[in-house]
Amino acid sequence: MPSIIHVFVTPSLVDEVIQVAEDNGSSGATIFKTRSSSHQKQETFWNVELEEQIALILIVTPQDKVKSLILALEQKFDFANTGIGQLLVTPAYSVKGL
Amino acid sequence: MSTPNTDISSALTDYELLCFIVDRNQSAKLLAGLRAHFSTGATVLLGSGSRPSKFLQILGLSEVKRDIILIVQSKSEIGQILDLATDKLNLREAGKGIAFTCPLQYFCGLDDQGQHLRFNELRSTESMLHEVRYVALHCVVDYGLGEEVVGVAEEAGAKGATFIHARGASSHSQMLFDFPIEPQKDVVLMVLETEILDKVSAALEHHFEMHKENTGIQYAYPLSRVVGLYGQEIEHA
Repeated sequence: MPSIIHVFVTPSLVDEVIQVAEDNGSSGATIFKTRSSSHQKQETFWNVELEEQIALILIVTPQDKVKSLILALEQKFDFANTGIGQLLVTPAYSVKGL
Repeated sequence: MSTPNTDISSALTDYELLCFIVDRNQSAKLLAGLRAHFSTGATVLLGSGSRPSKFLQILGLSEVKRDIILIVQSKSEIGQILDLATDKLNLREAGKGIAFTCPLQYFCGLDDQGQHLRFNELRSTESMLHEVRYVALHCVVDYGLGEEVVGVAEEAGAKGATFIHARGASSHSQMLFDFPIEPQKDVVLMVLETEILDKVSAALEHHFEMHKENTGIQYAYPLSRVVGLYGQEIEHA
């Protein structure tokens, strides 16, 4: 069963994420524009909350390539320590068109 | 910067991805409530849906703006968040929004409370795919084909969908002067009962010829809890 790798990064890092994914056997990704709502009090500008723009990249990955791709992404971006993004993996099934 | 907490092997089963799909005028209220009561942030995607009213469709007013709110949180907190959101947003009533949770195989980064978190290993999918009653089906097609996806899915038994605009990146992307061309995509998200998944999935695959290259992709992921679907609350342990 494949898995879906979700990578949340700043938009400037999208191309690097895609490159790492392709270097590790992925054939494509879907990129969403999102905004981040912080757990702390939001900064405001004239009463409008400022929310950071984030890119969400979904990569549908065959199960045998998930570990290597996760490792490559963590080595490149060090999500656990730098806080520049998040990486999460959810299971998938009924995948068609990949 | 706080030191990373890597010793959470016991919490492997404890974290899930929580997703709310609510009208845009409700999402600010929900986000403020999350911040105030649970000190949790979220990631928000812009989406749209349609109201099931032929009259509004004729007037061209059936499209409704929605926000898709994603939160990574422990199961115990998710239960409390869902209780709060269900009461505040009346999710038990049909058409007020929907919430669902999906199990995580792996997580790395800051969770939505600002804590460093990293699973020690990639969790097996076997238990996650066992006795699943509801799934979230994503169908990624070229821009402009989203409505067609919904039409095909509804004929096969699906009820309701949310559209999200995205762009695609592929190793087969065409290039223009060294710039990859990233086509715009429509992503259609539907929450379905597992019983009709095969029928909807087969209908979409047939209609969009997904066995051919670059015609679209679809995938589903299992849901462990759903609130607001047709005004029901369903939990699968």
